[in-house]
Amino acid sequence: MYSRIKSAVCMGIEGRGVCVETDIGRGLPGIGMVGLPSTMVMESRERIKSAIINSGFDFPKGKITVNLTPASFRKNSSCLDLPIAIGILSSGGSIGEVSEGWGLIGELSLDGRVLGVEAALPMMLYLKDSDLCGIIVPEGNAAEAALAGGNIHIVKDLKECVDLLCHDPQEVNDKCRLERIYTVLEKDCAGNNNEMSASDYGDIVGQEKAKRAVTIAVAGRHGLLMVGSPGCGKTMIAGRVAGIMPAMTEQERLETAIVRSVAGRSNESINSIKRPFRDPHHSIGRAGLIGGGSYPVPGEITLAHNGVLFLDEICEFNTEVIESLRQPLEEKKITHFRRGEAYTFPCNFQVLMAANPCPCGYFGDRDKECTCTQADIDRYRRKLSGPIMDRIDMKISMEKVEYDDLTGERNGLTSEEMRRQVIGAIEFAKQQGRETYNSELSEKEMSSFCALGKEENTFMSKAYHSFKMSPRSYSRALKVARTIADLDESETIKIKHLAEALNYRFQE
Amino acid sequence: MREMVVIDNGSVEFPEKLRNIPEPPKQLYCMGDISLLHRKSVGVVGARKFTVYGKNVAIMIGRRLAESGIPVVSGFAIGIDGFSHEGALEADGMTIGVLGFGMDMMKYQRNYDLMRKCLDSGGLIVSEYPPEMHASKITFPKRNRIISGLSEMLVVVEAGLNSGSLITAKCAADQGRTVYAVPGNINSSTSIGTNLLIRDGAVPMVVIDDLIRDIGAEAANTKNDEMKLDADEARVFESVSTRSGATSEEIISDTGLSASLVSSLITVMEIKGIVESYAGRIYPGRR
Repeated sequence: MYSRIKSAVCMGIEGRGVCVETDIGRGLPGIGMVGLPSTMVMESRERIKSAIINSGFDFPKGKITVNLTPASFRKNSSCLDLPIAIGILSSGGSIGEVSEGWGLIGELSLDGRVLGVEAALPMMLYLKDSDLCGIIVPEGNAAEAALAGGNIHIVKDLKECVDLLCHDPQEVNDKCRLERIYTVLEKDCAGNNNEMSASDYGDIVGQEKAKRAVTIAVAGRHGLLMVGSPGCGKTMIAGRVAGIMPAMTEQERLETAIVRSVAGRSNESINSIKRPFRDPHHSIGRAGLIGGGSYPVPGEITLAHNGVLFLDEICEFNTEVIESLRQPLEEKKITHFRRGEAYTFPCNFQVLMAANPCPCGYFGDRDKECTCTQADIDRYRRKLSGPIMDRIDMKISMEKVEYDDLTGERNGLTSEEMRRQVIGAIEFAKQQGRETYNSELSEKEMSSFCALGKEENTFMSKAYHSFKMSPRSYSRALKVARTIADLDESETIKIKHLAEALNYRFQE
Repeated sequence: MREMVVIDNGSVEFPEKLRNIPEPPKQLYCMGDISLLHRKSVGVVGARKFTVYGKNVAIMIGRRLAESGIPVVSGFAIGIDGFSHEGALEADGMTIGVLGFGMDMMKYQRNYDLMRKCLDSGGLIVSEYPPEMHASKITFPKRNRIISGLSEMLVVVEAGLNSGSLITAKCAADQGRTVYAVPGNINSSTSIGTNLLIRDGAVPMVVIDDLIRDIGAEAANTKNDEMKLDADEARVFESVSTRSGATSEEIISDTGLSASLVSSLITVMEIKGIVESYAGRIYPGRR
């Protein structure tokens, strides 16, 4: 007998439809599988057999042929266990015919339980969009089910799944379905609730310049480099950046949830989705940073999508690894090619970098003498130049705060205030007809939005000569000045905006 | 490239002051105006690793000497040496550079641009080594005796404990030249060498014009530009000049101005040359 069950697999971050065809004919007992299954899928034969028998069903006798259509791409996911098992049961006559309106994903355990799978969200979204009346997913993916919406049911084991399939998808009580999802969610999230209270810029004392720089960087999505001796607070500044970015839109939440789901961090409720903050260690390799692998998985830049990527000790990173950031920084996405397939991951993030001023870290420090030679310092600094630094618009120097400042009164900028400024600037830019962030302005847009008056022009030409600037650093300064003017809600760029922007230029 | 001339130890063009030093060079390979060899000149040397203080002093000395028509002798190294040349060139003065390698190696040096500028503005570059000679550990200390030998007096601007400038100072003392040393903070590792020189009898260089008077030249009149500062700039400048190297944070807390205003004031003042920033700190400018 023949059966057809709809399912999906995930390629990169996109769900793709797979139809599981099962046919049982005469011949030696066994399961043959065709349609480019990977080893992972081939192994499911053993799981399925045990799961069916241990769930109390009869395993059909005869030669079972399973075909995964379309046969053109390789399926590498354990989520096909459940549809294959149901297909076998249906073909063998253990259960009745399954309606075409159902879509199934899930991994089976030998005792018949249905286990959660990675990358469930993109698959659910695919199934939801392909006009199915009902989708069955493992209990372990309840959080994603709640986020995906649509007529999604969660099941604990094979038996529950079979019970559900006896019904027509449309008949199942919607209230029961949702109640079931939220009961599971509450149980799962109970342990997750001891989240740290969000850290605030108000906790950082005496780094007003750094806070100001961060506000500008976020408002215009400018790359920011912080240089300072160890312990001066670079990491503290960076760690709070996500907190001053505008609230996530629904679309952004979904994108971030998809990336998390693909990265296997699915067991988090929708409420815990915040702007991500990623700070990879400097020993990271190329694949770790931009993604890769034979079945490509997202790298740190994709995990930082819609959030912050913080590269601490930028000079310690492998140069080649850092250079690989160039294209994704520009295009906001990265494409990997494997076996004739293109896998595209999004990576739209705010980039922050931190570096010591020299190998020992104390160059220019007031209290501690630097032990490096000039040649050491020059060699170290050379890493802070080159093409990748052209993507970094702003640079600040930071210094340890004095003890008196540390214990003194705290009345500096708080995250809330900074966030208000950022949102104000972005709103103002929108009113002016600028949809993109200022760091992404094209040459043409710059000539209309960053036009300077006569006095401002004279000022810039003076600055250009006395700071020995290049055309590139000039246009960077102009973009930053535009953002500062936005923060000031000024239509034109004034000298004070330019002067402040020039203070964040790269020097020596 | 310019033409190179070789001056033998025995020729009339070979400067008398250099002939009388211990171990005089057998010949000098010269490029540029060789008449400079006979002018009264001042050697200005220092370490490769520098602070803003050393940089500014080197530039100021170079500029002041040039304004008074005295050639500056130095070694074209990175750091203080280079800055003293730069200072002299800024004031359209003439400089003499003594290389620790052959003339052909010039184009591989970090300061090649500076060397070219020196020749373009009528300066002189000399070396005791044949053109194809590579730089080595021995050549640099040996050329130091020529730097001091060509100078009437030697100023050491900044030197750590192991700086090559101390070798130059020793050569100068052996050759009977006056050694000046620029005093620095006693806890600064970049000034230990010069401070020790002062302890051991070098003349502390406190007023630049002393050099010019001691050499017997007339100090040119100083151009005194009035600094025009508005109220906020004056507050920032006060904060900068009372601290030895102020961070932006310190200026913000001293003046009570906002971070954005301080940042923009500093830029404006930098353009005017009133202040200067280096390694994350703001220093008074050298004007």
